[in-house]
Amino acid sequence: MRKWCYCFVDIGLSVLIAVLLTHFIAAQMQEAQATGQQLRENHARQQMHQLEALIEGHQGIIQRSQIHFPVHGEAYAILRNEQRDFTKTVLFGDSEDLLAISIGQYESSGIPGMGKPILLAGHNGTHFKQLRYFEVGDQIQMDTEYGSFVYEVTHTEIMNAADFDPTVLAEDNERLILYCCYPFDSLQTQERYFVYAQKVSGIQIEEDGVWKE
Amino acid sequence: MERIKNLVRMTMLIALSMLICTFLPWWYGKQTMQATVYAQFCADMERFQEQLAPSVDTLFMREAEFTREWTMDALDAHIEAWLKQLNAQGDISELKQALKAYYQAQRELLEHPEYDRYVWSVRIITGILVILAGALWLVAKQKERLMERELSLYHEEESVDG
Repeated sequence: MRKWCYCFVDIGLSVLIAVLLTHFIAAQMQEAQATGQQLRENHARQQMHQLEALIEGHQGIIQRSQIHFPVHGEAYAILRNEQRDFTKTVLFGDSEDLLAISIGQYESSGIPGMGKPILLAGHNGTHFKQLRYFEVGDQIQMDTEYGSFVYEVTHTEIMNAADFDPTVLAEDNERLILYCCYPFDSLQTQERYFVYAQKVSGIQIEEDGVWKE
Repeated sequence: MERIKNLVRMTMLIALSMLICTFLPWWYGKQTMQATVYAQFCADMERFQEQLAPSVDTLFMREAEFTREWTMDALDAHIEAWLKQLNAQGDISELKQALKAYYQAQRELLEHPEYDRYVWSVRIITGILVILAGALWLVAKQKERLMERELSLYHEEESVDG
């Protein structure tokens, strides 16, 4: 009987010591695992930043010959202002028949990435009737097949159509100029409502010859 | 002799209990985060893909591909094919290297070198201790039996002589 008692005490004591030792080693292991994981996460983050920088550099400039220049009537971009729940297709050209379909771009203005102003027109009663709600600071996104471009609204202006100076389109300043007739509930007026948005991000098109066919 | 036997038995019991404990996930659990790592990897790759070619929608790797063991050549070919799908222009070798390094860094997050090192160290040490203690206990037991036999023989001889 006494021998069995000793035996149970022995086993109990051994298990207790084993559990304590195990607990201590497991705690050490978990600490080492957490430290190791932290180091690996830092390494992964570093690699990601390197890749990010490389992709930004890679996408920063694109050759002109890699881009297809839009032709008259082509739907070549999507214009978005998420703050105003506004999404429209941009057609290349601003003839009446195109403006009846969607927003149109003045063909002699630049395309996104060219570094020139982009002049977009729309009817105040249909496709650009939301233009009045665009506010300074709004982010306007223009998605094309060769990249995404973001512009930020800097100011709005109302002026007579005849006062618009077309030489601004020759400036080396990439910005969106959106306009429609003003007042918004009138047709065939002389005044225009302009929204100007400066480029914030997006690639640059580098001159290297001709546009892609 | 009894003291040595007790000590050896206790050592064996402790080592055996510790060895068993290494199979209990309560103490020795791997910090597995495969789903989290893959989700993060996918989100990053999707962002990169949108930056490189917004009009193309192609997944870089499925979860099974992410966790499989790639040879360097196969990984190179996979990355190259993906970049081709995105119509990445110009010199892509640097981009390819960076993508490979990023994938490998993400894959390392799924590995558990500390866990393996600790668990196998504990298993090997306790295993050796169990075997050694067991052998010592058997030797002690054998010796005890021999001594008992010698003692009984001595008593028998004494009784015959007496």
